[in-house]
Amino acid sequence: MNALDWLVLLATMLGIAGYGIWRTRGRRSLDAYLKGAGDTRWLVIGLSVMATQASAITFLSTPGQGYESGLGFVQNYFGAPLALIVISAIFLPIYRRLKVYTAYEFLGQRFDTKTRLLGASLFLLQRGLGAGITIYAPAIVLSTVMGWRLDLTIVCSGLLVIVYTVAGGSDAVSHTQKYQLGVIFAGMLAAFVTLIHKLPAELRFTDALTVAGGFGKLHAVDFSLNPDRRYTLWTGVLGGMFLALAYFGTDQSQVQRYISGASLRESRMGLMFNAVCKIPMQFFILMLGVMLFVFYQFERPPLFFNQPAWKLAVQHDPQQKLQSLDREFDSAFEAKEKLIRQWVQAKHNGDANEERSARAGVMAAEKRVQSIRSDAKTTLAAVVPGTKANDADYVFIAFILSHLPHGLIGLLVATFFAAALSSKAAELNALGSTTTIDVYRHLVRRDSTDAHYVRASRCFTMLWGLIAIAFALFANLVENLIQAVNIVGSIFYGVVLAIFLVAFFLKWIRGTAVFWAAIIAQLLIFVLYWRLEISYLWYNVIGCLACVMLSVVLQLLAGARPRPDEGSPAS
Amino acid sequence: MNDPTDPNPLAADDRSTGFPALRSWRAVYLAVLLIFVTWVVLLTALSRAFR
Repeated sequence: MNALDWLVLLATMLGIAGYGIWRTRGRRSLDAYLKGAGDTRWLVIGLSVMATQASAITFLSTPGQGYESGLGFVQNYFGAPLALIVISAIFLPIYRRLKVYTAYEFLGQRFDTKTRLLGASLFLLQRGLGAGITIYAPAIVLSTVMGWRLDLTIVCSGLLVIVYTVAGGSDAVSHTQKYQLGVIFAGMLAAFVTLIHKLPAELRFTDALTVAGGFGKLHAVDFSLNPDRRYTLWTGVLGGMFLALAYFGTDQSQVQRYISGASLRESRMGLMFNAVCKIPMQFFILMLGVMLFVFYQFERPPLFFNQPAWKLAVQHDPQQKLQSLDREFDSAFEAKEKLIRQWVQAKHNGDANEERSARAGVMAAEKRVQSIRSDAKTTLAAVVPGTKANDADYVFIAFILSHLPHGLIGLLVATFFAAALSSKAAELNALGSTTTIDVYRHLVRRDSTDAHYVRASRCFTMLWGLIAIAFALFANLVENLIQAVNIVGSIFYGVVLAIFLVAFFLKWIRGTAVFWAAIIAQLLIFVLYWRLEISYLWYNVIGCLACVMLSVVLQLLAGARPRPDEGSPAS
Repeated sequence: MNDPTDPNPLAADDRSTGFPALRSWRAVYLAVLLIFVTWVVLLTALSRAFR
């Protein structure tokens, strides 16, 4: 990074954070601090919901996912439009009519205190864990880019977000997210355009798609019914819908974003904006990763994308096996590139036989390349114990640092930073609100002034920020960051969603039945997580169904029976 | 007693969608579903066209 990159980065980040504090100065009432001024329009809500979900991990890790596995991950988001429709039609009107600060307040009104506290606790537990991961991801980027110590980067980025979230509350989060998302879109679009521009001149866009498709990177929709497959149409629609229903409908970090709308209509339009834009947005980010893959078929990629780890390993490799593998990779890459060019040329010439033969050669060459990469990863892990073999999260940042012009590097780093701060801020805001409203105001101090609760909320927000920083300091690179966040969510979300579904749809079930059903179902999910190898998206479905069925059984055992008028939420 | 799970009644302003062509929320939801199905079809076509 040079001076221009630093200028772009600091001006963008500090400018937006400063604007958030200035925009919300003087907010004293609890309503304004936790819900905003009540004048939020649909676009701000829509962008805020989008920015809360799209963390730095989305923009850092998803292109790597596209590079490694292609477009298949987009299926993870197939359930989102369906879930958002249900939330808009059923959940949202109820939250707004009850004027709740948190989703768990509704559980207290519908069931009892223990169920409300259980819902709030599950949220605090899983979101507290997730918050650590979201702060860890951008810290990796920044520490790589700047050569900073990872722990120092975690602390600095964590403290910046704490400052403006504590100062401005919910409104500061929403209004800063609007501009942060602007920076994110500008950065990602600039990266995509530059990437396409850097592809070989003779390569048409359709050729790039042919190459990507030949390597299986454009396999976006998988109709397989095999439950071992992580991403299929069915896991996406069904598991993804449960995950999205739980995340958007019951996770306070999202609920807080859309209950603050100027009217029900504004909130609904904000949700529908996301229902329409979510899949194309994820497709675009994955496509960026796929195009990175095509780019690196013509430009020699590093043998291992985590370059600091690679350089360290090379220094500590007495037999110089890594350097030898690097040389072997050079010749394997050259041979493969030549064959790919022959393949594209055959396509241009319309020679189907030559095209088939060249393509078969490419696939054989790719096997050799992958074998060398695998050897390198094994050697690297042996030379520097503790180094993770998965370097997918470093693919995009490696491209940015090596191939983008100065100024744009600053903008892309600002993009990661903006995404990190926007989702982090919403999480801290929600964690602080839930602790204040569902725990502190409900259990510790019931009748105090607004000013007191605002102070309490600020303290809790700061406390959760510090806990997230501490958690991030002890986190390590998991299989893949974006998946790690979704796995943590999936373990808890199914049960939380079930509590809400029972609350909305099964009115004859009481608090005690759903409370114990939720405890048993959550324990079941923990056991399944350790003992069963299935796509994590299924945990949402299993946890939810188990909790709903157990609630029914326990309530029947307790003696209450449903009356004919106790079936639907609109009855 | 006030039922906390009853989403009705809605204010008149909240019933209108603000879209000239889609006057009820049901129509908006249907349009969103159609867009979703279109995406799945397009992605499937992309998968099949380049493999």
